[in-house]
Amino acid sequence: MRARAGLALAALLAAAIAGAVAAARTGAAPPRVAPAGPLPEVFLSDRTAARLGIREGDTLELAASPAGPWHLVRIARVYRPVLYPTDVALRGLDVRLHLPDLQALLREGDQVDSIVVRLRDPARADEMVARLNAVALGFRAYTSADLARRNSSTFEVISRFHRAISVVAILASSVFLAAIMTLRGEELRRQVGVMRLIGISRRSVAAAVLLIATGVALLGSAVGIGLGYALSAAINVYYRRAFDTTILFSQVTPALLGLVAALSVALGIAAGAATAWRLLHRPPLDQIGR
Amino acid sequence: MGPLGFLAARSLLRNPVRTALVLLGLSVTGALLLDMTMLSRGLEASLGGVLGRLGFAVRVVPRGTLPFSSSAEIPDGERLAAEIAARPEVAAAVPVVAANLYVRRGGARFPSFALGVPGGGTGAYAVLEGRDLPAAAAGAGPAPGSPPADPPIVINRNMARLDGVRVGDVVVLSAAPEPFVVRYAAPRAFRVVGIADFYFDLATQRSVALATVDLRRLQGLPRGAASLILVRVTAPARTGDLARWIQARDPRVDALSIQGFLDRAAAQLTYFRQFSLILGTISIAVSFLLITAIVTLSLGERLGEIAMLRAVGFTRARIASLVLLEGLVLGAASLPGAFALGLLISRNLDAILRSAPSVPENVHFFTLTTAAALRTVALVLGTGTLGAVYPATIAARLGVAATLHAEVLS
Repeated sequence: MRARAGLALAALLAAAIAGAVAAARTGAAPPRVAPAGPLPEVFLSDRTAARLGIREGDTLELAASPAGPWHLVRIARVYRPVLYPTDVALRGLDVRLHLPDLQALLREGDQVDSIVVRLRDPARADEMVARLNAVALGFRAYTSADLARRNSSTFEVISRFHRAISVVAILASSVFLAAIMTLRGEELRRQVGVMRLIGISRRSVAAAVLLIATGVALLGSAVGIGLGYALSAAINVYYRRAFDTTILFSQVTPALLGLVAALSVALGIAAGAATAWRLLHRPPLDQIGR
Repeated sequence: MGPLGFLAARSLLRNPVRTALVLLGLSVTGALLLDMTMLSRGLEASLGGVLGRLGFAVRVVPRGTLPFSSSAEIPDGERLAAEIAARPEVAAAVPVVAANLYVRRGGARFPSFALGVPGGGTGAYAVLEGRDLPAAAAGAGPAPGSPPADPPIVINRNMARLDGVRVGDVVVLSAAPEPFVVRYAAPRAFRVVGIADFYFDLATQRSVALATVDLRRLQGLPRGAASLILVRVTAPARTGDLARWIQARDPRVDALSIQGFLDRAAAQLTYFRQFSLILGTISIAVSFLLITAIVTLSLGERLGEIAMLRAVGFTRARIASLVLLEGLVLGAASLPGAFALGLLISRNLDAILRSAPSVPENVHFFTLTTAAALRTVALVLGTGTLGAVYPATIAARLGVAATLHAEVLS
């Protein structure tokens, strides 16, 4: 096993440092720790650098708490981090340090929040996790899959929430379609009466009504898909700009299009069938007002 | 208004099936609108409600944080609390320490959130069963000559429900999780004296409250710092002045009023506000289209009637008012259904969102406030009226003679 405590671990306490940075700009002058050698180097995300108005080569003071002590560091690089969906809404400042520098800053000794382990044989991850957990020291090991499952639970809940909202939207559009078809059926009443009086079969009349309803549903779904594309694009433009990221927030997939079209046709046929039943239920003379 | 009301009601009741369908459609879209209005500020309203019930007007936190959102502490927090408590408008200033501990009972060991308080009666939690910590717990010890008693702790309902811990039980608290480490982490036995509601517990979170002196001893840390200072005031009108005084007194802290707390928390809740804005706008647009379509189509069936009304002396303005009134009545009639359906749907949606991790038990996403209800009523009525503007324009411009002639021919 080859274990590596990555530099990225150091970013886990960035929020505390960020608060300290903010405090330094407005607070009373706290004690400062003079560096013994060259200044420790840190990386800053581009968003953080923009918020603080600093760039590569500048210096920065960091502390684990607003009370200090403050440590002078040099910004070695401003970089654009790959944001995960879980991070995208976080607005805190983001500083990355070498692990020993952060440990010195926190004065908590050789302590890390997590250790990332790369295996030569990833297929043996479960076995390795079991062995690590059997050691019974003060840690808990997880496979990447376990962690992904644990961390994605919020997104699963949001996904369920969106599905529930879509059920309400489908209910609303069904009623909308039924109301429109009822009105359309009343407009067709006389025509249907005449058609039946001149000998056109009930089946043909019903088929005509169903065709109209399906056409309305398909046309509506086509317009709806167009609106959906426009709204999706607008959402992506707005949120990508708002969160300064390239993450895709809204996506219209072929499967979604198929579902929408199928639902529209099914709802249209159901509304048409109900309208046809109402129309054919009445005598032809009654339908033409005699 | 009398004749207009009569005519509007008559035209809506002429075709009950159609009107019922329109009302059903408007009820569904109105329900969605109500839900989105409840969602947009629901979490803040719910959080504000719980905070208001606690009775602490000001919360003092390490600068730039929210209570218990990080491990940051206020240096000299206990001293700052004492200075705040000395202010005339302050009834109490309670320094609170938060930490993660491990609780062992029998063979079971589980992580727990620990709240260190000076003593009982602080109001940081509400005792439901048993008794509170002793008021003078901070620094209190056994009487000279008597055997050292187990210090008291209060546990939350989750620990009682999920782990079977009862009042009178003895549990072992430790700052470290495993036996190997525990040997060096000075575990200590505590006696459970009460079960309490800790207000912001997560669904399966275990919490304990104990004297700060005991918590610091477990952590191996000196007293003095605090994670949070809860301030209860005697003059709520002076809360703003007090918050400003505290921040001027110590620039390392933020003194948050309840509104300040909510504003800071709201910055992390933009998703719900924007989501509700988008869906609320869509539901208004659908309601608008539904009313416009239905009223316009129904108007086409009674052009002759409208022309007759014009012929007997109704002005164009009154005809337009009649159609607008129909839209308004449709909106108003859909409100009971919208509220009933909206509340029903919101309960289910709230349950879905509250199943997410890190959501406190006492907090809800969908909260029906007076403002949310009034906003929904105004939006539904406004949409109903606006939806009828187009058919009202058609009706008002109707040519009387030509329409009547066409009616006779048809």
